Amino acid sequence: MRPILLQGHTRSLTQIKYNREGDLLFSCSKDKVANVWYSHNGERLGTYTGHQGAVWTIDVNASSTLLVTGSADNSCKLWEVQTGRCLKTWEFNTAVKRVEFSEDNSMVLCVTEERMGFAGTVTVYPVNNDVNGKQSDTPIVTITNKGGSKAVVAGWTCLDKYIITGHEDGSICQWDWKTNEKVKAITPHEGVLSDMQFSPDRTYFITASKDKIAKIFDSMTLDIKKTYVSDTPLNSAAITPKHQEFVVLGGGQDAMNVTTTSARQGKFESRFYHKILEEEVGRVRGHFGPINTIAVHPDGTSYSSGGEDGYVRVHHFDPDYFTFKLEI
Amino acid sequence: DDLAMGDASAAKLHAERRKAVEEWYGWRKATERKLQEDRKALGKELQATDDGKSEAVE
Repeated sequence: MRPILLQGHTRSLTQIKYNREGDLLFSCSKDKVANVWYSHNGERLGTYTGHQGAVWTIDVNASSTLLVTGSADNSCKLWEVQTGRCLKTWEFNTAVKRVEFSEDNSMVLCVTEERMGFAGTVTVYPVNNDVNGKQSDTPIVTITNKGGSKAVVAGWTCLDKYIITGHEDGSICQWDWKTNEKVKAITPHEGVLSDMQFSPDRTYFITASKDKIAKIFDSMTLDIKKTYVSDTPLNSAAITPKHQEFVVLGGGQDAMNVTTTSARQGKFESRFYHKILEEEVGRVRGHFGPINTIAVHPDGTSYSSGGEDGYVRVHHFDPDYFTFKLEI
Repeated sequence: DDLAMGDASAAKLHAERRKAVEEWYGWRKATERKLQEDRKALGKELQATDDGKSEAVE
């Protein structure tokens, strides 16, 4: 099926996210705005304007009432999904590179950039899910990887037991955020982590790295369960939750590193791998530049990719996708 | 001989795949069971999808 092209952003996409039902797709971009679209037809419902810099990251709560964004303007904003009203702005000393609601939606984590004089942090704020309620200015905890590499991505494990952080040096840490203690640390990647997405039950997660490899980890033990080897620096990795045991990887050489040969080789494709067997099973072309972000519909019926080219492409899977079976 | 080799390597591949699949689902089953226990212990059991309709009346 022809993908639906979402044209609305004027600069490269940084993150896309489906809501829990999958009827809405949220996107953010270097163009300083976030958008919400109907995922079935690509119609734009609304725009969230107010950030003064690139919007790096976005997340929506389980009831699709609250949206959180993190920006290069050193702030995190909480929005009412339905009206586009900004409910709260949390100010930081540096850019916010990653945000994520906790599993129970009562908190949000914000990964802040490291800049001269300021350490990179993972700051957790409480979230009042009443859109007319007051939002707190006091963080619950601020995690700093003292003496270690800065965090670039992070997420919550099942039951919000731990926060997992992915770092610039390819390391991954598991934090008991209640006591602000590092429980485990490993260095499974040789390049900067670019994405981290959890399974629906948050018992495992997939990482993407500039080292061209994606891996699946057990959230509790940090054991490496699976490894997917590609031929291009990866920017995103997602798990298909239903119908097929696949993972979807996307990336591509950064524009400044692209030579005509690598462009001709077409590395700007979404790559599908069998999650359990670690084998590549297919590719989807389309973007005219690196793929920055991939998200899969919670029902596993479609997936979307956001590119450096400024477009989001929504792909509804063909019937043969659902019947595909690798010989075992 | 070539055919026999092909059969042998194909058989090996299929055995490896079966093993990978068995190990994955074994791990998933154990993990899901553990999560269910943890949920119960924390009183955070998942609510039924027909939330509201089958709610227990006290």
